[in-house]
Amino acid sequence: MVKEHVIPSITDMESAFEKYLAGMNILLEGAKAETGRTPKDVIWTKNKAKLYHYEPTLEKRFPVPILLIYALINRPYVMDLMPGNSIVEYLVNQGFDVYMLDWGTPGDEDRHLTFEHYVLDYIPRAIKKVLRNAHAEELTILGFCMGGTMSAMYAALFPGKPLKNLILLTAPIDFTPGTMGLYGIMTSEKYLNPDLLVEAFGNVPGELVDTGNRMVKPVTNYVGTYVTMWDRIMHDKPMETWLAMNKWVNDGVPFAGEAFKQWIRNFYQQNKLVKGEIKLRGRRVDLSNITCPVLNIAGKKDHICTLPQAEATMGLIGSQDKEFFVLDAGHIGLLTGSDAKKNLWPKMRSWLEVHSR
Amino acid sequence: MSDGINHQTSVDPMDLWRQWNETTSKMWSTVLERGKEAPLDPYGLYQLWLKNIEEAQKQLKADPSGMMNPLEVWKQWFDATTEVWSRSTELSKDSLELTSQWLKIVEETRARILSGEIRSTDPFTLFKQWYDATSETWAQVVGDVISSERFMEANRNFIETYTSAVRVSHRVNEDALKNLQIPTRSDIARVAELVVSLEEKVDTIEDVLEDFEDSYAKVATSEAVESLAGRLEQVESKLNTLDTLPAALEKIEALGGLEGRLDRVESKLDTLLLALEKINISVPPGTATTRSSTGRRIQKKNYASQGVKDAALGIELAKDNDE
Repeated sequence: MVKEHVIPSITDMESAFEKYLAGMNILLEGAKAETGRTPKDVIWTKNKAKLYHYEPTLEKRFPVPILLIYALINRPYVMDLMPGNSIVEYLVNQGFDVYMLDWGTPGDEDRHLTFEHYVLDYIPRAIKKVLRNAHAEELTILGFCMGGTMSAMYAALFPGKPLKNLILLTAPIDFTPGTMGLYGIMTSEKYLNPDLLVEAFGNVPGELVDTGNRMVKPVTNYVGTYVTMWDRIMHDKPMETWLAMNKWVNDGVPFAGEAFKQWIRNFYQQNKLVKGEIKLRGRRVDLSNITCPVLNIAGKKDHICTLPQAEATMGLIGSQDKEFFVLDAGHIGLLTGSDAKKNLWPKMRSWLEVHSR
Repeated sequence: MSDGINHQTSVDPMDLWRQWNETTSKMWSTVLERGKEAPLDPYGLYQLWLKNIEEAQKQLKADPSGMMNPLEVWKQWFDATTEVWSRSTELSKDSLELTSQWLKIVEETRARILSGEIRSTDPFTLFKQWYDATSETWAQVVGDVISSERFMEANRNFIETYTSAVRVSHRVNEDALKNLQIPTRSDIARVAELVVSLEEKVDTIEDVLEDFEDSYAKVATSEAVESLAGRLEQVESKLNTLDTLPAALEKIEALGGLEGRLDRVESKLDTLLLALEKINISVPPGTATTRSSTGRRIQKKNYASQGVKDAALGIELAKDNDE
């Protein structure tokens, strides 16, 4: 069979060359995108942390404000990725009063920050500011990933008012070996000594944490991402979401040294939280003290917070009103993207509507 | 028909791919057979590869119409590749089982290509199809390698070595910069810690002030001040009415004094009456008229004594009034 080869025209070649240039620019200079564009004000700062209040677009429909608490890894604008793909924007447009605690970028002087500081100093102070600004007496905390773990610890130590509701979004609570996938193997006591990293670097560099996250799915993260990029460029598909996500993935922040040691040793290696052995300034964290309504959300395809890690929360908390909601998505996929808009966001809205009056 | 030049410029990429892979597989088979044909030296492998490329080019020039069926090309390539990798699996130790895993991927990909799942000649589309077809297997292979004991041990050793080198490097740099009197990151961090501590104190003060403001103090508005002024005026007016209190108190005291005086007057009058009664008794009988006149006189005296009482009372009252 003789195959005829079509000689490309000059125009085709120019177009292909431009696309090639666009792709190479992204690879060499990094993805550029405008993210976190929902209008907001900074109402409080503490050290590097900032508390944002998102400007309402409607008259406030619910008296109970929502405080979003993100993790200490990567930046929180993933929750406000871009217009049309932002859970913050969605909640604001539903009439909720939305706040976010951005931990900022730790410097060398912050290497001694621990979970005690975050849970016992930063979060309570932020809550007071939220209540004062919102003229409210109660609030809902929505914690994502490690932010959810910290939120759960806060709720266990300070049950009752002003905490009205707790939403845990892919929050790892149980770190039983064998339930964490590759993450569990990489962070085990046999192969990782966090003291070495902290002694060498002070704060653990964001690139190192990012590499660890990517190595859980290396083919997808190192090859698949760029296959998708070239496919989208070459076939003239929209690039905005890809650029925004790629920018966020590569925008890691250092992890405060002492907090990193605690996170690896007390949580991943010794699983102290579920055993009730975590103590913050002498106060034991007992998750059974959580009695407020809880919405616990997890993703089936989440390889960073696996299903068992999140599901274990349901058997540990003392709440009567609790719900475990599972989505067929990954760690970030359940928060952003078309599936999130169809599934997670409406679910969150309907739950909050009932619990925010 | 097209001449050789056209075919040279529009050569089938599949064929080139086949030629390259045959060359590469020959190179690897030579290495894995422990250099049976020639001693193992890097230049030897490179020369072998160049030689095979030259042969491929000669074949291409000699057979300008070599436009084979792409599927046939792929089949030949896969046959060559799988044969080479199978031999290498048998010969090498393959401690990480990479070779056998790679063979598995190649065989799976062959099946997909020969079935027509991957068929595009556009290089980017071909690459994407290739990735979509093989990524799952790739991911499984790489995941198995990463989770293996050997890999994790190697990783641990690497971390220990690397962090040790970083520590030494930091220490050396710190010492060098200190000798040069240049501020280091640790110096700046120390200053920053002081600033953070200061900000912590300011934040605590702000917290206390806010608690105070919310719990006790309210902002004094002008309305509140005016309202307070009005209430003060009312209180003052009530206080003014209390100025007559002393006079009233005096009158009450005077009345109390009068009562005492009255008691004394009454006692005096009682004494007078007693005396008059004694006088009356001492008057002889037969003097009925006298008696009656005495009675009238006594009555008169009673009236008189009453008048005396009244007069005495009036004098006393007058005296009190004067006083």
